[in-house]
Amino acid sequence: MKTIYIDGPLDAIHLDDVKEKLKEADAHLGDIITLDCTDMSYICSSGLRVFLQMHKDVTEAGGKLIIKGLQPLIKNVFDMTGFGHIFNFE
Amino acid sequence: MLRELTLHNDVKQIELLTEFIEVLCEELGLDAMLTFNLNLVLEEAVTNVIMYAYPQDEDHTMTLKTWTEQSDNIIVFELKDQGKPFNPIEEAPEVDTTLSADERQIGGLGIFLINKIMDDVTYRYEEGSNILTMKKNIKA
Repeated sequence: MKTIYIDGPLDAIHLDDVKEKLKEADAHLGDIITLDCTDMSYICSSGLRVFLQMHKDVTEAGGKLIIKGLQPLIKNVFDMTGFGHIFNFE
Repeated sequence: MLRELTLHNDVKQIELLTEFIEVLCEELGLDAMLTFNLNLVLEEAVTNVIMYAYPQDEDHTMTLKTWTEQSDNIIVFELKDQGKPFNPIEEAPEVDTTLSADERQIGGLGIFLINKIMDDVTYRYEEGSNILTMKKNIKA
């Protein structure tokens, strides 16, 4: 079990910071990884792509990625792009 | 009501864009979802220009104009840059939202979101400028 906490806006400015933070999961890819997004205030398409890549990496390694606490406006962006049925939400 | 914002091709400028959109939406009395979605649309459009229109190591600008039409029922955004000709509507890869994670491709999401959120998106190349016009009914 590994939880990574993501806060603030996941926009083009903060993208690299979040990518860096997600590296914490590198040693746990075969495990259950939770991205706690309770305090994430925004996501752009580059952010969605980072999440998708993470989902692919974790699934490939035999683990499971869980996205926790998405705010409704952000969940809506996941749904608009069809990512709503790809990820495991909590 | 015509407003204009000039941005450089640097991602840090997204901060200025966000502030501009938030002030605009507040003045128009738009709800949180519409404000969020318009922010997203403009960030995607501006990021596209920053990433693809100009060489990364050169300083250039783009202009965003916004106004309302039909008694404030429609909001219009016009983004203009003098970078290389690029029609994001035609040249962006197609996005199939029904695919599984494995099949999903990485590109095209930004334009997909712009088209999904806005009611009318048109592109033209005129006198050396890319002009992307995006309209949304804000009273629907």
